[in-house]
Amino acid sequence: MFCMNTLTQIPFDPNSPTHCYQMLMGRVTAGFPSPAADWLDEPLNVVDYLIEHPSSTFFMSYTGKPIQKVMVNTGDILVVDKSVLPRTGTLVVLCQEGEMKLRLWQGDENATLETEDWYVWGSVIGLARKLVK
Amino acid sequence: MLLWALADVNSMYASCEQVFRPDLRGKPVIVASNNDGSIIARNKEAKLLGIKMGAPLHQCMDVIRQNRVAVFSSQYTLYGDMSNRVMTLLADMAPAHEVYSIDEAFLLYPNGLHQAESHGRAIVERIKRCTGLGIGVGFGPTKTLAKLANHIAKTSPSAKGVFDISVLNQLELDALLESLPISEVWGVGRRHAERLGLLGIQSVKQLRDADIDQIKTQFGSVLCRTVLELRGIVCFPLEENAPDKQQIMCSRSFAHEVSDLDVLGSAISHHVCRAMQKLRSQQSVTNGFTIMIRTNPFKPELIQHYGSMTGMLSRATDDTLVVQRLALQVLAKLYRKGYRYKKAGVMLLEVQPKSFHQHDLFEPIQLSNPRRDALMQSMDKIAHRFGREKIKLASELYKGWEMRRERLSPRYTTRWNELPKVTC
Ligand SMILES: [Mg+2]
Repeated sequence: MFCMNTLTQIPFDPNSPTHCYQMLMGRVTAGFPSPAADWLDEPLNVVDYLIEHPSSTFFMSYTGKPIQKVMVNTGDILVVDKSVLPRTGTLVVLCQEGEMKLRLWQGDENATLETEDWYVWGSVIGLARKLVK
Repeated sequence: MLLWALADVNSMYASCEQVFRPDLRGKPVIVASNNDGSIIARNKEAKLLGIKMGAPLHQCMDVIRQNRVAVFSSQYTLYGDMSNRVMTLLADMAPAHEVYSIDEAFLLYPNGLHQAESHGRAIVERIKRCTGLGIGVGFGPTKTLAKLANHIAKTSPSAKGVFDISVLNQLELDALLESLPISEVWGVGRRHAERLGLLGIQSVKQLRDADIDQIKTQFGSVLCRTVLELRGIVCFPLEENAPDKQQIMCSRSFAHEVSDLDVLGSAISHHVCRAMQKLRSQQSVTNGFTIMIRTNPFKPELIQHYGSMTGMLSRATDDTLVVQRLALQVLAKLYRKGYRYKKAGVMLLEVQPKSFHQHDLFEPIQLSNPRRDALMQSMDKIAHRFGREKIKLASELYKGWEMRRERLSPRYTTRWNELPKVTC
């Protein structure tokens, strides 16, 4: 079952925690998953799925008329990553007249993100919504 | 050549509030302590209005009204989350780092940097882009010089937030240190500054060139090390475990004065719970605690009492129930009937890593009681999962001491029901 060639490439040291770790994580198998690796999986987590950069990602709540084109409704949670530069067509949180507003970004990658009157707070990279509350 | 950096967020608390309030862009913002007693943070615009750090809020009401200064109560939940983000990002940008305070970190580059200034700009840029917060970065051959460089990064208009003191030649360095007062040096408090002043030592350059033996005999070895650090000799190493503080403090002012011992006890229990949770989260044990209660010193018409008492434990522990029981006994001794208390707090003393603790061979081992450990762990888990409000010791249940929550902004980043709002 095990691919022994790959296994023997790792020098065996029964006392090495790294070795045990590599064994358990299934890195020694090639083609055949180790049965041990299955139960070591973390449960799936939607937050991990939605977020790329935890340090620069914030949640915001949307209130307003539904935006058909991108299917955003009132009560939706916007996943906003400040580190992601908007491209044409990116949904952004734009600060204007002292408020945070949801807008489709029309500029390209080189467009300015800040003027006297407005600035881009961050790019909306995902949405979260409960269908049954 | 080894190089240090000190990165320090600009007006951390006020800036955190501004990030989520576009209407306050470019406006003066101040943050007051929890009982709205005194000003603990000001942004650049508020500083320009002459609002002083530590000033009581009510003394500044005219300036605040005339200039429409935005006033907030300190929202440490938000500041703590923003701090974690900044520290995580900074840790990525240096081989080694030390979190020094909620908004400052030392970064260590054991092999130096080719272009410290451009690296500093990259740090400023990244923190700004990812968190919206401004940060200043100072570079130097020692921690003390890096901290001094940070001061210049923030105050000199030409530095624009980044300054490397290590690239100056001797003449430039001398001129710079000559122009700076010793009070700007890390570790030189007001007391030291006054006493050094009497010796004619006023500029940083004079302190650097002071007689080292005289400093050692008159001011002790710590200031002596500071002087050596000003000369470029590393005396303060990287403290890998700096966030594991030697003391853990939890205290708060009450919205209304409290005279009832049970209500005071409930507040103390709450603080013990929080402090012990912090203690366990850093895998530490405590050897004792101080309980502090005080009346309102701003109401001189009332009879005043400030009481604090320390209880030392026969052996170190991380057990909430042990500390809580003793803390309530100490409080009962401290408490005086008929006084109206305004503030209560708990400080854990001689905090040390649990792993370092030596068991007493001849005593029954109470430190690692597996059942108690399991209880503490499940308390922490429940508290973590459901928010701290859900699990409380019975004596915490008396209310009446909730701190004043006027002007408290939402916990934008840690509560689903307090998220920033976006409209169409
Ligand atoms: Mg700061």
